[in-house]
Amino acid sequence: MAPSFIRLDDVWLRFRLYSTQHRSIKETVVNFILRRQYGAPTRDITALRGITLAIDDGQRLGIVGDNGAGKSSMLKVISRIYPPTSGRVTRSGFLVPLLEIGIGFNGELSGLENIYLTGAIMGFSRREMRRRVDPILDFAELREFADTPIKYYSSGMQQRLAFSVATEIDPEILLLDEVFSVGDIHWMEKARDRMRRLMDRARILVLVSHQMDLIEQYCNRAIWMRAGEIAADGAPGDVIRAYRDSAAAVAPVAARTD
Amino acid sequence: MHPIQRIRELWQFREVIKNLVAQELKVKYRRSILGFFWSLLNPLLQLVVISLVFSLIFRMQNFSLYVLSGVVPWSFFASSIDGCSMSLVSSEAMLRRQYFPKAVFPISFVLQNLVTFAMSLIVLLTILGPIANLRLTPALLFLPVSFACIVAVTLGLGALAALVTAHFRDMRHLISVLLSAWFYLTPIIYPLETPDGQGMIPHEYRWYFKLNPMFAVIELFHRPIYHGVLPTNAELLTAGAVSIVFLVGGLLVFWRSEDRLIFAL
Repeated sequence: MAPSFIRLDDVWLRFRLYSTQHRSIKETVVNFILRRQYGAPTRDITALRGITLAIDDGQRLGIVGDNGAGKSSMLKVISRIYPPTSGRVTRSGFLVPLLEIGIGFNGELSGLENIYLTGAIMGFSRREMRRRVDPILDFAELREFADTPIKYYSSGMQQRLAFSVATEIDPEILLLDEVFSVGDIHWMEKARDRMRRLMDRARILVLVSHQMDLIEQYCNRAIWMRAGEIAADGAPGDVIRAYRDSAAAVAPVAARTD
Repeated sequence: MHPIQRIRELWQFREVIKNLVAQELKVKYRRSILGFFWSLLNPLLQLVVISLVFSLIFRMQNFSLYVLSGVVPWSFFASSIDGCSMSLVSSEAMLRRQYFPKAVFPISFVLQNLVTFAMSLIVLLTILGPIANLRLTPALLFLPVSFACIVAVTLGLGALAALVTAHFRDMRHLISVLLSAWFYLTPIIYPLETPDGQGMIPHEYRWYFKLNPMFAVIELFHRPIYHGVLPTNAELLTAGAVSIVFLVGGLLVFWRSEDRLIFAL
């Protein structure tokens, strides 16, 4: 099997944040006619500023940094969910991103049907998913609800299902965001175990976390992100120390905006 | 990305389209075996009302067959575009979790609606055919071409509707108003000209009606079903050109802004 890799070459990411959730054509037209600009003030965010980074087969990369420093944006650019504004992202290897455990399910459909749909999005046919259905339902402890529409699931049940589907497939590249956290205590033990095994099997792991011990335990390389740039890159112990020292010295820096 | 790459990528993700189509159909018809018959009831009632009211005005032979052959394809067109317009917005959570080509949503919506459309046209023609004096001519075999054309136009415009609604949520209302205006501007519940060359529309204005791209597409259904003849070469060429322009144009515009769409959702 060809070795997996991720390359980022001078990657910039800019996007616009709308302060009201959604724009409407009515508002836009009225504002244009009256030549005014209120209602929806916007902010242009520069989330990544010229990131150049190579992650090779066998590396377990931890990303640390303050909120808004660009950690999650980095994962989204690597997984192609966000297109870079400029620069190049190249990679090789089957990738599974576990970023937002949001409820990306169709509520009208049963748990079973949602398993097939999620599998298809990851690139697996119905036939390939069929043998994975039983382990997924068993692990999620949702066998008796397999045919129940998702909208009748509790949020905990939905999370369990999402987690179980996403972790049933062995990726070569695993992207993991801390946001992807899980339910009650009994479940957490089980989930942590499964996650650990998944991380061990992946050829490349990129892990975003605020838990420094987690990064020190799992990673053999770390970077510290500050305001969209890589502030430090090296052994996890050193990078974490640098990050901690800076946090002690100054108040946390918020995301820079232009 | 090059359009060829986009197409290749869509092919790679065909399982997603298959899943979405199968599941939408399941949801639509799960509630009861009557599900499908309910979906027939709407065009059927529409047909009855329109036929009753307008046959008094137009005094046209087999008026209900004329209406049927236009209203059914039009409702496929209009309901697909309405559905497409919400298809990206309502799938936001999925799009934020993993990368996949966003065109799968308009495509799968149009495809699953096509199944309903084809079935209702067949069933309505079977039920109403004898009553409405449907002539079984070889021209009916032309219908698959008519379907291909209307699917192409619908897909192109559906992709645009999805794109526009992702940027401006309230476009959905505007789209449905535009669609109903478009419906009345297209000769569906009235004839552009009756076989004797008469009709409600004065001669000098008929030309404008023929500029409407949907006129050409709907004629592809009127000809074989109502008139029992093949479309003329000119009609076929116009409809073919309209289909290609809408399909290619719609998809190219969609693909141009597809990648940055995630920031608008």
